[in-house]
Amino acid sequence: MQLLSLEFAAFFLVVLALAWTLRARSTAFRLVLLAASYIFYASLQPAFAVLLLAVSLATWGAALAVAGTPRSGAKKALMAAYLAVVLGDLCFFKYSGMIAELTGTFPDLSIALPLGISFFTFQGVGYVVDVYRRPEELVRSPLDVLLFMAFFPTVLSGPILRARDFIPQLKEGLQDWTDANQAFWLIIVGLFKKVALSSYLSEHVTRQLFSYPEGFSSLGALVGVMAYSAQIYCDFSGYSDLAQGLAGLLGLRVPDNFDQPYKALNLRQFWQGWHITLSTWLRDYLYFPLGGNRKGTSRRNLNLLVTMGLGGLWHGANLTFLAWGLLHGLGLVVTHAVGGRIGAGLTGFAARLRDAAFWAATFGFVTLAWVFFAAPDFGTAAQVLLRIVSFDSAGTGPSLTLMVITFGVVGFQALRLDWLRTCPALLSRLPAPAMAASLGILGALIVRFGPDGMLPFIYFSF
Amino acid sequence: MKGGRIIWVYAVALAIGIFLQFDRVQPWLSAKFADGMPGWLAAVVDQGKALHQGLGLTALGLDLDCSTAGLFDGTYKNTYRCQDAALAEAGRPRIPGLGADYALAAPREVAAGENSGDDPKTTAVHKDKLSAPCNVLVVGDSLAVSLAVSLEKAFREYDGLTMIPKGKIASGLENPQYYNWEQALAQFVQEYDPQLVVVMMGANDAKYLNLDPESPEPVALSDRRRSAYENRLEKFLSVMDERGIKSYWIGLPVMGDPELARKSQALNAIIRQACQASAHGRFLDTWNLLASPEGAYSQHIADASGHWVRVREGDKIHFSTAGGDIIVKAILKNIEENIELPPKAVKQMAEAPTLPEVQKR
Repeated sequence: MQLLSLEFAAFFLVVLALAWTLRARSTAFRLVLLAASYIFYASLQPAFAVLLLAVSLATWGAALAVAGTPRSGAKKALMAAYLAVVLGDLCFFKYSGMIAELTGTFPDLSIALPLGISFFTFQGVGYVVDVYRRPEELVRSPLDVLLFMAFFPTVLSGPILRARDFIPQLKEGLQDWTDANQAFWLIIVGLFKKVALSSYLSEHVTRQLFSYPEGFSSLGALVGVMAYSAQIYCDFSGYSDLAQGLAGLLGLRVPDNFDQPYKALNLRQFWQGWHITLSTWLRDYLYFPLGGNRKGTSRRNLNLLVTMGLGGLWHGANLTFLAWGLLHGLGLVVTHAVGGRIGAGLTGFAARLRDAAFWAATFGFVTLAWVFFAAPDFGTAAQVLLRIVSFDSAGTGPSLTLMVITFGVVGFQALRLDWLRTCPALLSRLPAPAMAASLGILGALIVRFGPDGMLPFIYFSF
Repeated sequence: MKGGRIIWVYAVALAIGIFLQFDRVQPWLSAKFADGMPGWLAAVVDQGKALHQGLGLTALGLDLDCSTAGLFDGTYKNTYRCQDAALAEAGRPRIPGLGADYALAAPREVAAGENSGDDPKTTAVHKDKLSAPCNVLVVGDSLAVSLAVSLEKAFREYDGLTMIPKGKIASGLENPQYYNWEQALAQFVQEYDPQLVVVMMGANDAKYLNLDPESPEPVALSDRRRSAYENRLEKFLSVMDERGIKSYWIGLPVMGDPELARKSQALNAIIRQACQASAHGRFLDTWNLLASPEGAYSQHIADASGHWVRVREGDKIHFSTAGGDIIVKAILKNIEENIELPPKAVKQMAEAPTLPEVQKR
């Protein structure tokens, strides 16, 4: 049962009806959501539902044990044991193939990757570390922890939840839900980004470009990598919108994951708007424990490189992801070093020119770094970059539709989007039949402009 | 908003969305039932279809698809639906500029002696060797999409070979309502006039086969499912045979899931048999190409220099680019029998025509 399928749409209707019928009865409501989450996950990978259950139970048990242990040494040992188990499990499933490939001696286990393992593992680690730091955040109910770990709108690709924000909502017993209009709107926006835009870009340029760059002209390759910037944004933020929308219809708030990242004037701003729940996770559970910026400039730079390098590797078992992360780490080091010094005293038109230059530099850097993210190996990444700088007109060039979509997606983020916030309010003014009809027609139109057939989400494989 | 209103709005919006897209929902629904829909559901679907057509929504959807077809490349949209027959079925006149030439072309003249003798294909191979320029059409499911990448790289080394990649993700012969390969192939053949067709398809079809539990080797039961598949296979191959186009069907490589592996073997056997029965089709076995030395599924294999190479994707079905390159090497060895493969001079390689420049007929 793929998320973008009729099966899921029908399944969600049943869950929605049951959940709202039982919303006032907290235990029944949570049981319905837990059952729905495991049915959804098992429909995709039945065998790995057991793994999800095991990691969830380990998380629940570890938090209980950590909170109940007064001695600091024992607490640390428990924490270390838990991290060894869940991170070892993540490494085994995700990185054993890469190690086999790199060393040539490690046995090839040919293991399939459990869907969402990087997401639910990080959620579990975040929760247990929170309890280690603040035992009062312990959740005793196994039901709550199991649901927090497996919540079906977010289990495959996030946003990465925090227990302290998510679990208390399960007991609120809502009768009215003012965010439902926003939730319907997010589902429509998410569908549009994923079905109409991301799929188009994937199938019309980026898949070919990162499979066979030699077939593209220099301009084609340049627009192609920019199209990848647009595609990955639409793909992942589209998924996040859908997850937020689905959770919202159930009366649950899921955190924002994107905030106009391509509007950023420097890399710090970019990471404040890109995959927010991952960047804040890395900050709170990796960068700060490493010392953050409290131990001098050199140590801060090293911490940035380590955090971003590991963050890169989290995305996939390939050294290209490590390179992508390190590039961003390096970019952040430079941003910290020069931040605020260039053109600080400029005003008026000169300041606008400075901002335009900063924007172009940031977007250019992010886009070129995506080459390492998208390419299957360093050879292909180098070929893509070489095609761009070869100034060769032979090969596939960009079509008008492709350029309109690519520049539209990027340019749209530079606009002030406050007016978009009025759309859910407009929906709410409609009588229910008109609202349902509008949503149905919009959804059908979006699907009509999508491919005949469906494509996978980029982030599912992470 | 009250919970009841949320459920009501969602349910009605979903119902409206499904009804507006009924021409797409119907194939999806059909694919869910291996042995046909239950009677009551078939009746509901028929009524829905009649209402959809009666309100003009089927024709409107087709108009929209056909008039925007120029925005989309390859197999992104099922543009073969814009052919005359499909338009007539939906009660619409032909869209100007589309489908004008989609009627079946007359069979190409067969070379004298090509079909004489005990082994016509072997005779044809040597007496009717194709020479450049040569259009090679690549069709099939997502495996064909991956294969096309490796083929395109390989073809760049030779003069006058142009590849036309037309793979369709998630497609197969089992579900023509999702993607009708017979119609699509007829359209591509007419449009691009290929001299050779490379087919790789079956990853989505194999799972529908029922295996004979009595047989020690994986063999498909002779049931309705198999018979329907064989009929579609025969029609698919006949599109090429009728035009005298040579084709290579690239068999499925070993699969990671044991059940799918057995079904894939059974499917390979069916396709091999159909290719042998066709005039111009040949089946190329790739089962062991990406397997371990013991013949088992393996994510990595050692290459000629002993380097450990990942040849399969994590889903244990698809192959990696390196895996595709290995399969293509084997294909090239075989198609050398059918096509002159003159290595391209360095200067000429830089001036090679690219895909959009493929001459359309």
